[in-house]
Amino acid sequence: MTTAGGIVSLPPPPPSSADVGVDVVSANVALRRARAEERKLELLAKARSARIAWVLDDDDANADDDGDGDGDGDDDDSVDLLSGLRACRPDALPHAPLVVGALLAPRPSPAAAARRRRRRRRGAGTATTGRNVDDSDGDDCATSVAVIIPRNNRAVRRALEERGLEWGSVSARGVDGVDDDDDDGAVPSPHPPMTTTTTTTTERDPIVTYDFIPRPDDYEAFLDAMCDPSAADVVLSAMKFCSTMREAANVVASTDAVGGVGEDDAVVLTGLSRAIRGFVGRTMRTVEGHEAFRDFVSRDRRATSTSSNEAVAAAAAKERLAASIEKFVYGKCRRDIDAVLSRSTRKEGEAGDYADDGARRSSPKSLGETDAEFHERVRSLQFVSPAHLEIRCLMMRSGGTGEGGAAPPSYEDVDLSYAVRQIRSIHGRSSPREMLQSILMAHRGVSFALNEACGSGGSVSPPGADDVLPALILATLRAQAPRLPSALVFIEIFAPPSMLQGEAGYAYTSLCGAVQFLKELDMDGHLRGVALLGGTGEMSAVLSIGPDDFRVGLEECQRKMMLEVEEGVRRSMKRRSGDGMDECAGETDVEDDTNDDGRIDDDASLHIRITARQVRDARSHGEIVDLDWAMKKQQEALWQRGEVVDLMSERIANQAEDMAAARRRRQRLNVPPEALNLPPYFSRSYSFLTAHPDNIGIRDLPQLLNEYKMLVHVTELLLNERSIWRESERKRQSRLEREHLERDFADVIGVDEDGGGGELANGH
Amino acid sequence: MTEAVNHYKVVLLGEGRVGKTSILLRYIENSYDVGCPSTLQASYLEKHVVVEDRTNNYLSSNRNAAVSRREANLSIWDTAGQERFHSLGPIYYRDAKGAILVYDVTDRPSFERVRKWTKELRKMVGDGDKICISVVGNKIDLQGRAVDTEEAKKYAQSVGAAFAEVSAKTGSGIEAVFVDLTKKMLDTVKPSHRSKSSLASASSSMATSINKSDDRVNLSQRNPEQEPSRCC
Repeated sequence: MTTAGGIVSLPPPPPSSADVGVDVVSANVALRRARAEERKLELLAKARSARIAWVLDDDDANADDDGDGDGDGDDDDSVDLLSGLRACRPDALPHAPLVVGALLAPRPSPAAAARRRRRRRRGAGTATTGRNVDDSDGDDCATSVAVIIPRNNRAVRRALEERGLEWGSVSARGVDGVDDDDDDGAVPSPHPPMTTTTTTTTERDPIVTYDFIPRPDDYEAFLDAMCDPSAADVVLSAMKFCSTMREAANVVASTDAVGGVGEDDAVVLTGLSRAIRGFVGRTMRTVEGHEAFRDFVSRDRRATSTSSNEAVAAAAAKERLAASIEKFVYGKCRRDIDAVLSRSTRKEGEAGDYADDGARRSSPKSLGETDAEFHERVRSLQFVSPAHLEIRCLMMRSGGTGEGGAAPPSYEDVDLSYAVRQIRSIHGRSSPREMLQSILMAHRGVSFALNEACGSGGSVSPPGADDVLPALILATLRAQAPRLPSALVFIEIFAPPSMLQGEAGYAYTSLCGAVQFLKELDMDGHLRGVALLGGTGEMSAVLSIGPDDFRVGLEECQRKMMLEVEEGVRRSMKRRSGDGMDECAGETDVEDDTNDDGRIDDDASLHIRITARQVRDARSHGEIVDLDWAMKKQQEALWQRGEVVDLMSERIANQAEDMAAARRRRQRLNVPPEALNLPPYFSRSYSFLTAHPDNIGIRDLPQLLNEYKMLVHVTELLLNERSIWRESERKRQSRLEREHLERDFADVIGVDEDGGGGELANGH
Repeated sequence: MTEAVNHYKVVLLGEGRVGKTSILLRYIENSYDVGCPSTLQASYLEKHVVVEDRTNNYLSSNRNAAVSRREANLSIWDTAGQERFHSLGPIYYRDAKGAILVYDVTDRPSFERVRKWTKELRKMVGDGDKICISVVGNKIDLQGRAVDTEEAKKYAQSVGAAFAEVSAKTGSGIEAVFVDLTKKMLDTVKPSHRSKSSLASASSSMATSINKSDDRVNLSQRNPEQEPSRCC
């Protein structure tokens, strides 16, 4: 028996007989071990839940596992808004879908509805796997919640569970069929306007040769593996890597504020891309032999074992693994990369040296500006038709022949909606691989659409680049994808060169060509009438259109753009002036409409649509995207359009203040109260805190036991108090939030305070 | 077992109606192999080409011609030939190891366009050791020739390009164009990239490119002159 040095608070070790001492000592050792073990487990559990939260933190990217982009962003944002409603009481929840649905009114296309339905079904298929929560008082609002829950989305599920709602009860409502599993992710939604026979061929064909993106179930499996405790090292290294990336991006952002030089940005971005690729490679090597991912990897093997060639199968499996890792990493880092990217300056045409020297513009613009300019230009060129691009395979055979006929040949129109959807989805993808996949699909979509159109026109030969490129330009125009140029630059920098070599590389190059053509299009020249084909003797990017027609078309488009704005204004005026109540009552209509004819009633949408883009931007600026935010944004938008009276703006300001105050309160309250009254028998003297097992004898047992009991009592007491406090706090907050919500709601739908408040209160 | 396969990118240039697409389609049809993608699209094609070289082996006693087989994968990129898209050419030329310039033997301007492309290609991509050019006259089945064979041949020689006249309609000479070009590329230019087998090409090359790079975020290379500019 030795006394441990440095221990002063101990009572001197009592002389005790050896055999008893040994027992006590071993008992103490066991106790300490158990405690340490418990503590360790607790810490581990905490760390693990933090890790899982991080892994599953549904960035826009992770959730985006479907093939199409236009609906997805909205769905994800509705998830955010829904999460913002967490603080509401369940009985306030019925407003949520209405608000969210209205704010994010989906495009009323049948295809979207079909997708939605499919997702819901898919959600139902797995609904039973959702963890059960006892509380089911959200049942009454489950139906309406189901309207806006696109699919079995982890984020939604989590949000609901935190609200005490049962996922199963929510998603099972309004579900009519069983899981239809024909949607395998690589091939997106049906191509509605095509005839059914061709749909199958056009949709099935593209996946035969390419396995670019991880299938959704693959990715889910990957996430599951990441959540496994034994995968902690992988997750931790990923976390570390992502935070490094973030720091790097921040450094760049802060230093370059002076006015970045293009080459610098290029160096930084290349560095980032190399870092990511390196990380993916290292992670891949780790994961391949990793215990936690054994199932995942072997699952991969099994999936591809049908291939005759073992080596090919292995390579494919590896590829899929890399795809999953990439998707994960880019999902976490994409925002930071985008931040750097959008403010990086590149001289026009410098991207990949793909422009003539003559095409270079003098002043370097940031990519963000280029994007905006491009979008503006595309929007004003909406009048361009196949005739202007002379897509020859669409030329009508019936009319006079192109060469000799006096009458100008007329052109058929072509349905490019599939390609358009793909192009729109590009920016929403997280990894360059997935973006390339979208581009590839867009390109093939164009080919197929032309094939279709030509086939009906009598010719049978598939279209070559002579026709595909102009059609791709047309699709790019119709897509009006806001950030296409920067997405292309992103791919160029971040995709490994080998990825740009195959057909995907060709499709990418063609899309670059299409974008550049539109950028180079000499609009002034057209207006002045000098930019006729061959008119200047130079071969330049021009349309086959006379100056007058061009002017007419341009003006019409600009008028339309104005009209769109006015339409928005008009609608919101109408809304505010009266029929807000109908909207409240029409809550279930939203679902009915979605179910029946696939369109959400236009009247159900609110004034200003908050785009997915805005939400993402806000998030990338670190704002908290929730209902408050949405309301504020909407009010701001209204205000900017100059249709809100001063009184309104005052109210907005007040509201914003209130919200901020509420948030502050919330934050403050989250800090546990410091001075709690201690129970009377609680001494706060811990006799054995620093005791060494060797120094504790049998006679110390009573005291030890006493102190132990006391501690247990106090712990229990504190825990109890804490839960009571939490409950009351929750109630208080939900009351607060609900008040806010109702006030906001009343404001937004423009109901008079006296008339509307009562209705709303009775509404649930 | 499998040797590395060379990959070559080949661009197909030619004015709007000279029949680039028809040549490509004919080539697919004539020598259809399983690995080629659906014929629903004719703007991009991947083709595995086997070149058999017959060389007299003087050392062997029986004086039989020894056949050496060489393989290459071509990815053939069709381009839009209309004048309005001319400025987009350089995007497509990037990394191209071969170019097939097509003109219509009944259409003089299309031949003039070929001269223009040749110049541009040489300017952008470099000399013969960087890119192999093949000048191809199409539509020899048609009457009313506008471009003389000898003239075109002479021109092709003068710019160091191969020359052939073909008919996409009858299929004559098509295959030879691609095989000859492949031969020339195998002899003279470095491949775009190499891979073990055609199917695993994407994955393996990607994996290696991943493995090589390191994962540190490199910020040190940038803004050495940023500091002084900030203090002004």
